[in-house]
Amino acid sequence: MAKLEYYFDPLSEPCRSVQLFLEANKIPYEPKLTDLLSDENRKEEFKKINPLQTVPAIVDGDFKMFESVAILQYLAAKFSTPDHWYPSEITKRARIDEYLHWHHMNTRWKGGLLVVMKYLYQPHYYKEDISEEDKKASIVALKATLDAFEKYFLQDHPFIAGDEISIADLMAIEELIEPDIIGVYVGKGRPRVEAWHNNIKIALGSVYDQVHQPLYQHMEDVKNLVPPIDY
Amino acid sequence: MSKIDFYSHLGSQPCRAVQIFMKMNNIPFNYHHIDLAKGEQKSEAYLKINPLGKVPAIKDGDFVVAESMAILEYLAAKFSTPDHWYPKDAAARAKINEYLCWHHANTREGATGVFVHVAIEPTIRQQPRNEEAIKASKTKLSATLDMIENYFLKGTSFISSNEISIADLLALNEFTELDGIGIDVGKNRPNIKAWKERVTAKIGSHYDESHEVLNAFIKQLNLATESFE
Repeated sequence: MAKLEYYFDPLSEPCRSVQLFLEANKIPYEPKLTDLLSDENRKEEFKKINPLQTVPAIVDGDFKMFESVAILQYLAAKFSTPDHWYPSEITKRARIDEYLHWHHMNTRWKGGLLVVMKYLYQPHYYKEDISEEDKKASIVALKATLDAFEKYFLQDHPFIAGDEISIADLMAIEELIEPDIIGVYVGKGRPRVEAWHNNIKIALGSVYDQVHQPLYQHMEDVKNLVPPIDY
Repeated sequence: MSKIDFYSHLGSQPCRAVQIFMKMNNIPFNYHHIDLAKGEQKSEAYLKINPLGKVPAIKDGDFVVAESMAILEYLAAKFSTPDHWYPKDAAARAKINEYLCWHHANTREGATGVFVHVAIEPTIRQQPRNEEAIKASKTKLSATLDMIENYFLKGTSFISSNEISIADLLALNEFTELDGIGIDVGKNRPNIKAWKERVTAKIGSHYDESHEVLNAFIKQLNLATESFE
């Protein structure tokens, strides 16, 4: 079997979600680094891989696709990974599907990335003027998302789906730890979120730090760019 | 097998998609109208059923599912509907899932954006027409339609497939809302035009039945036809 080609940027949250899954399940793949900050995704060759020009994207023989959640669902089926990742029992699966669909316009849209955009990327990388009001609004949005996440999805379970880790946790955790980049930790004052984060680290073992290495480096590189945020 | 309890308002696009799916597959259900105008979705009684406070939701015995896509996926599995609705083959399913993921921030966001700015703000919310917002939402809608025209319908009769699936029901219902304000998404896009006709034909009589509420609602808003390329 030819190796899966995996197009990704380790600083992109959905890319890390998929990479955690690939590594945790020892799925062989050829890493294809696609650096977003230098617009590698805008190149013509990448358009042939994914006309939407987003990462992550995969090429599996003749088969190509994008969208991280859909990729995770595909990989779970194709590689027959342990059932807990995406259970086949329909009520357990429905619980995870509920989260995965809610994720797009909530955790992804109004989560960690929004905060990092407003405080770091937009002012420092894109040289845009972001008002203090806009910045504070992003924190408010993140907190609302966390409230909903805890209340409806995490509740008192160790993981979103219950007792075992699933693809839902991989999608959620990467968006929610993103603001670590600017010193905002979503587990602060939220013991259930902090416990969930630790559960994920334990479940993934050394794979967790391995996949997050570039993110840790990035955090070092930018640590003096943003003054401490009141969170 | 007992009936599915279906919590819905047919003015909502995802509610229509779920209803049409159940009707086309002869899935018996009890319809529960949730009065969105009166905020019934946030009532104590409804929040006990769906704590997320949104429609659609279904209850299968004691088991509640929210999020239209999760509902459709659950029903397809539970009722073993014909495979084309949500194919079991990993690659075929992946292509449908690819669309479903993209739909949220694109088709839904694009179409709803235009509809809210054009049809809801100046009427129900009694706000002046926000021309800047309308222009921006039309640009977003246009980009969304280009992607559907050139990728999701490229070489296939339906979204990423040669047979109808849950993706088509979800997409179509975002666009039927725009029909009501005179925006035909197939106007300058032949793949979309043909696809729309195909999907509508497949839905048959369930189409008009599911659109009664929406059509009545839009009619009484008395809006002029909106321009869109």
